[in-house]
Amino acid sequence: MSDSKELHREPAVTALRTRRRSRSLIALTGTIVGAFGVIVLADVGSVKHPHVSAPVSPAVITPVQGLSNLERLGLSMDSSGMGRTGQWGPAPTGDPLPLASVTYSGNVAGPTTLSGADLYRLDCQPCHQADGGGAPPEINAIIGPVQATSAVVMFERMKTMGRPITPAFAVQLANGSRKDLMDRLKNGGKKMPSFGHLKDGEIRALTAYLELLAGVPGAAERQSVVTEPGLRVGELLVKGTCHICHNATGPWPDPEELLQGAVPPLGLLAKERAINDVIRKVRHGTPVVMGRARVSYRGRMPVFEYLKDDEVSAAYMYLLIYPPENAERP
Amino acid sequence: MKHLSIALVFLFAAASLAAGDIHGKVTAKGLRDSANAVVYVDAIAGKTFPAPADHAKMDQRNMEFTPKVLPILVGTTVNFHNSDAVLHNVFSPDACADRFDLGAWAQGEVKTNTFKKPCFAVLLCKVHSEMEGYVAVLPTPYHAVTAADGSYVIKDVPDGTYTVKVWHPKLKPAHKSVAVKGATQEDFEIAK
Repeated sequence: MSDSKELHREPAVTALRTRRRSRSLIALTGTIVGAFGVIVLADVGSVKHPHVSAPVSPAVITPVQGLSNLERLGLSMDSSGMGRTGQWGPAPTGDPLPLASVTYSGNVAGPTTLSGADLYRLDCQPCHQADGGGAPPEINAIIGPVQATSAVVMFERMKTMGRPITPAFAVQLANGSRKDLMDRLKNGGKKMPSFGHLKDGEIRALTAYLELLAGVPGAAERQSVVTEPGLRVGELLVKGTCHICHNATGPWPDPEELLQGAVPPLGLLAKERAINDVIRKVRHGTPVVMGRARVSYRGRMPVFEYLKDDEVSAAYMYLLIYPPENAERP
Repeated sequence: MKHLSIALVFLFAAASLAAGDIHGKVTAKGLRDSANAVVYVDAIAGKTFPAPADHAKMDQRNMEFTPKVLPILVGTTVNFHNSDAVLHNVFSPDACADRFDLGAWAQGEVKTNTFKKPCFAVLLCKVHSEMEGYVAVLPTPYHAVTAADGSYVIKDVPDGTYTVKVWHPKLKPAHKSVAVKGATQEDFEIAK
């Protein structure tokens, strides 16, 4: 019993430290955002293009680069569940959603507060699903590996199995699992892309949420938030979700190729599509008219209902302000 | 050199054929089948066996340890394979196996662990709590694992009198003194 108490005490200490660190992180990011400048959205012709004051780029934001994760692995959208394990969203029911009903604040320069759940939605959910179950065997569930990072879970599990272990060995097992989890986040795996662009505060908030999903005792008390420039939200969404299927650069497919399922590159998105169109396509789906019979077809892109208009807007702005290398500036 | 090696293998095989074996059946009372009992010759006074250079193999396949029970001689290194598309881990909480944790690894990769002391080490996977396997680390190279019908054959046992033991993950162990002369039959019964 005293062993269990000893194990429970450690997360409480960690949570306290986490809260202190979060406060100093909020203060720091507030300063960065202040220097970031103002972004105003305005209508220019048919494509609503943002007018952007010269941004002072925080060093942490970098352009998306290289091949999509699917292309890197030689997979196709049809052969993989990556990027579309969650909501396929409803099929369009005739006319597309009126553009006027797409709302977003346009405030992507101001600070945004992200919880671990938000970070999970932006970076993990398209493959691992909302409940962390993944799509085995292609996409691992995150529940088992995260439970294994808890000394309390390992200690109790072994006791239940009739193979009690010492608190010290439970901590050793949990530390090993945490190292494995961190290694996977930073370096990726055979199929999983690297999330090396995540900062310590983001990883702390994210892993606390993973623990909540996995039912780790005490996880609710360890939840934390990070405050970020809005464009960082866009970067996280592009790198964590869009880049699974979309290459960073490349030519824009012609209409025939698009109908055949070509996936357009991220670098030209803001040139070819208005921000409202992109938000509508991502969050609600836009029917693609196919063939002579003009049958409405939603296209192959999943509908990401669980994203927010402001988040998609931030992704659009991020692609505009931090275009991939070799991409034509819109 | 190659011819010499082949010749030596044949010589060794011929010498082995001259030795006897211990065979028979183990009845595991109260279980659905009698598989996965380890029958082995216990330590022989004044005789030691060098650790083999060859590695033994334990796989994780279809979310199970395969084989369920792997008998090895003390000092043997085991290669832990992963044939599943998911990440696996292997750890053992047993002190006699030096309480190891091999981390997580993907399909096609191999991790190794050397078992230095006699032990019946349970193998568990941190990621999949339902998985369970065993490595039986034994004092002699004379051992076998029973088939579902309880049958076993320990090959190439030199004539002599030995203590033969039976171990099973769920049942109480048993032992007998067995005088081996050529092919020798010995049956066992084990229970909870």
